[in-house]
Formats: sequence, structure tokens, C-alpha cells
Amino acid sequence: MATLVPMRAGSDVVTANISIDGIVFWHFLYSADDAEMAKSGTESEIHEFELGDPAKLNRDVNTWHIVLMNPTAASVEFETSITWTQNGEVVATWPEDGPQTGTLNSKESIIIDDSAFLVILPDAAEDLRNLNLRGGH
Amino acid sequence: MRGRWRIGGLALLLACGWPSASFAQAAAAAPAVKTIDELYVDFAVPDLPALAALDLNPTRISRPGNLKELSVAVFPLAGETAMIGPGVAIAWAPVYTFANSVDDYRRPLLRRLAFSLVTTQAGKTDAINLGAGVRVMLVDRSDPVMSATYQADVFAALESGDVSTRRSRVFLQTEVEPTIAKVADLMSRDPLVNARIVASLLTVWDLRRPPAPFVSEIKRREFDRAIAAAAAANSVPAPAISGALNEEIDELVASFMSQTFTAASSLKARLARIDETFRESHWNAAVASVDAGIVSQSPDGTWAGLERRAFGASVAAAFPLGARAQVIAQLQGRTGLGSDDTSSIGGGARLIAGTSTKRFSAEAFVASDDDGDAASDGKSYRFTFGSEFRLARGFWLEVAFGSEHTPASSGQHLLSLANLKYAFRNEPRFKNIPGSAEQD
Repeated sequence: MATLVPMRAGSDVVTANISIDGIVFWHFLYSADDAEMAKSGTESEIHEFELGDPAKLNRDVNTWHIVLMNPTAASVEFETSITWTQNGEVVATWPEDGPQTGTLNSKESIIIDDSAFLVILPDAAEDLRNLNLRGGH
Repeated sequence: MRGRWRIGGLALLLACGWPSASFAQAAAAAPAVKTIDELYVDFAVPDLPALAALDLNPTRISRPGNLKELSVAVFPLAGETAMIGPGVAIAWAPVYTFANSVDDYRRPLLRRLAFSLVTTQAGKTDAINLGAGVRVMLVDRSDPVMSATYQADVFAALESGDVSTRRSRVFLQTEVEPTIAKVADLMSRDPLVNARIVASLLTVWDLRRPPAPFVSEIKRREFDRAIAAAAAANSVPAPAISGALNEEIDELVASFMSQTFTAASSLKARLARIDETFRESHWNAAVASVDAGIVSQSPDGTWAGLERRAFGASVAAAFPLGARAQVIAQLQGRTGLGSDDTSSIGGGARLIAGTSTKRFSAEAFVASDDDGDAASDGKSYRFTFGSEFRLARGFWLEVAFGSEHTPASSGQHLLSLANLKYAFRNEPRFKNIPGSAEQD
């Protein structure tokens, strides 16, 4: 299931926060309607991508992929996740049940991809946000 | 959280496999002993610090190099000496426990350290040697993590798959969403339920996930099943899809089949080529390390009987000799502590020639020991010739023959060495990570 990102109507901008952690070379592409963020790196940090106003984003589909490669001689663990925030509040997370974790053996690589559906939900947003944060459906 | 798991794993390994004196005695009774000196095989196979510093290595010239997170050694397969009988060793490189990124790995101190513990039987006696050592890597030009060229090549490979994600978003936005919005409207007008149905149906149309088998009817059935599942999950009736909408969905299937990415990703093959190229050009790159450690001996093999403590240290450096050869030079010394007044100093060199998978080796070593025991007091020297092969990925065999002179014997006698090296874990531990399109 694509991640459902419920937004409040108004002027509070929505931001996607991409997090990657592990002794890995990484690359990600986050593709939105009229903008995208593509980065490669070696550090462990959260990358903030401001998507814009909810009215502009309503019923948008976003896609992304995250590629990780272990260059070391040992096996390493990784952890990656995306949160969508509006006015500092987390409105959705991917994966819903917590960060994507795993282990890469030496020189092993992995591609993790998925999509999200952003929609303004003025009445039911709070319920859904609570549902998302509990990891349920 | 990750660090705690790793420390817990280390504790478990130590609890299960601590190389105690009694364990070494049991190993001595075993009819066959094999060597397994690392968990994860790299093209450079370093020897453990405790072995190098304490003169407990069957091959006297220790190859410097970065250790794996946890390494184990069981030795020797052949080539027991008066000092070295059957034994076990473990080593730990803390960088893999504490670093959370490649940037952390590259910090100057952490990646240079490794610690190890070893027990061996002293020759064919009941005495047990127990040692602990530390390695400090001074230089390691063979480490791909530190290579800017290797990083640039890997990034170029990782960035090669961006087009599929862009095209999938455009397809989902412009062709899929309008159609499945109509399906969702038939199922529920509640904004929340409607949005959840759309989100669940979008996944079916991701161009990066072609149907298997690659048949239009299979794709259509997959979508029909997804509709039924979404209806059940949201407690709404399954929709009655009209003829026009039905045709629209069929057209969507046709469009999906014409645009989806059916070719297997080339990422795995590209990364393998990058790795092979780096191995071939760097297997004999310059590496230098300092090892130091403390060893104690128990004449009767008990913990209470540990005595004769000694401190040892060695400096080893490997450097390329042309494109196909490497020379390793080593100096080492050992001196008794407390009541032990023995000392030893020695040095030697090892020539390795060949490729990253097949090598010839020649080794010469000279040492002078000052020991109250006449059998150990005096000069010793040895030379060996041999070869090492990568039999298969993760599987190495090293065999050497030669001659040795020791203070305890007149003239020279033949010796032979054999080490078998195997990677325990070549397969991914988790094969089915949701959303993963490719694994090595």
C-alpha cells in the first residue's frame, strides 16, 4: 500500500524527511510533482525536502527509491525511513510500522522503493494521523 | 539500539566461544584441526594481532590489514611447532560496532584499532599459552572505503536507476490516479476511506514492479484482487464496475504493460565489476600496522597456573612490487615480564606474487632467543615456499613447505603449513525485505 499522507488545509507547508543510517554508500531519489530531491552520500543524517503548500500537493503521488551499498569488509546494519511533517507535526511515516532495517553483507547492495498519496483530509486527518502513528490501517 | 544488539552479540560469542585453557586442551586432543581465520573474506587476509605480536602465528610473517567486525581462527591445519600447538583466537574491530555511517568509519582513530584474544597449546605439551593483543593500522591503501575513485564509481552505479522512479511517478499521477479515483468513488464517498482505497490501489500500478508472469490478464486479476482486498479492509462493498470504467482499466493495463521496467536491474553486475577492478588494482597496495600484546603460559593448562608473562610487539608493512607482487617486511620483539627473563627479537620478509585470486609466496624469517631453557636459547631461522588460492567466493586455501632450524635441533628439518579460510556468511540474512527490488 502506498503511504497515505493526510494534510491539513491551510498554509502550513509539508516536508518529507528522508533518514538513512549505516556504514553504507547511499543514494536516494524522491520524486514529487514539480520538484525532486536526489542525493548521494556517506554520512548519517536526515534530509529535509520541502514539498510545498497542501493545496498544491492535494492528490499528488510521490515516488522514491533508496539504494544502499556496503563497501566494507564486514556485514553492516542499515536503517532508513521517511516522515512527512506539517508545521513540525508528523502526519505520516514510511514504513508505517517503524524504520526499514536490515543487514548488508560485504559489497552487497539493496534498492528499496515505494510511493505515497498526499491528500487534504480536513475532517478525518486527526484520526488518520493517530492511526498512522500507531502503525495501523 | 543497533549498538546494543551488536554488543550483545559479542557478549554471546564470548560466552559461547571464549578460548579457555580447557578448551585448548580439548582442541589438542582433536585428530584434525582446520584454520578459519575470518568471518568475512576480503582479498587481503590479515593475521590476528595477538598472533602477530606474540610469535604465535604458524606463518611467521603476519600480513597487516583491517580486520572484520568479528574474526575467529582455529589453527594450525598443519605445521605445529614447539611453541604453537592447536589453538583458537578471536578478534574484534570496534569500528563496526560503534560507527553509524561511512563518515564515522573514516574517522582517524576508530577504524585503525582491532583487539584479539588467543589460546594455543604449547607444542605437544600440556602447557597453554593465553594472549591478548591490539592492532593499530598505520596505513591501508587497500581499503575501498577510503578510496575516492571507488566511491565515485559506486555512486555513478547507484544513481543509474533514477529514471524508473521518475517515470513511475508520472504514470501513477497522470494515468493511474484518475482511473482508480473513479473506482474508489464507487466504493466510498467518505474522504478518509476513499483516500485509503486510492493509496492501497496505487501500489498495484508501480511500474517498478512488473507482474510475474508478464501477462496482461495476470495484471488485471491482480488489480481485481486488490479492489476486493481494499473493500474488505475498509468494510465497504466491492464496486460494480461499469462497461466504460472496465474498458478504462483494461487500457490502463495495456499502458502499464508497455511502460513497465521488465529488464533486470544492472546494478548488481555494475557493482561487482567495480569491486573486481578495485581488487585487481589494489590487492598488493601499501599497508602497515603495529601489533602489541601480552602472553601468559599455564604449564598445567589451568587458569590458576598462568605464569611466565611476556610482552611482545611487531611492526609489519606491505608494499607493492610492480603490478603483480607484494613484499611484506616485519620486525618483532618479545621480552619476559616479572620472573620471566626470556627475550626474543626477529625479523623477516614475505614475497607474494600473482593475482587477487592466485598467489605464490616465499617467506624467510630469522630470530634470536635469550632463554634459560637450552632448547629455546639461540638462533633460529626458516624459509618456506607456497601458494594461496581463492577456491571459490569466500573459500581460501594456503599451503607452504620449507625448512627450519631451531636451537633444539642440529641442522635443518622440513616443515609444512596449511591454512583453510572460509567465510561463514555469504548469504544475506534477510532475503525478503519488503520493497526491495534487488539484493546481492
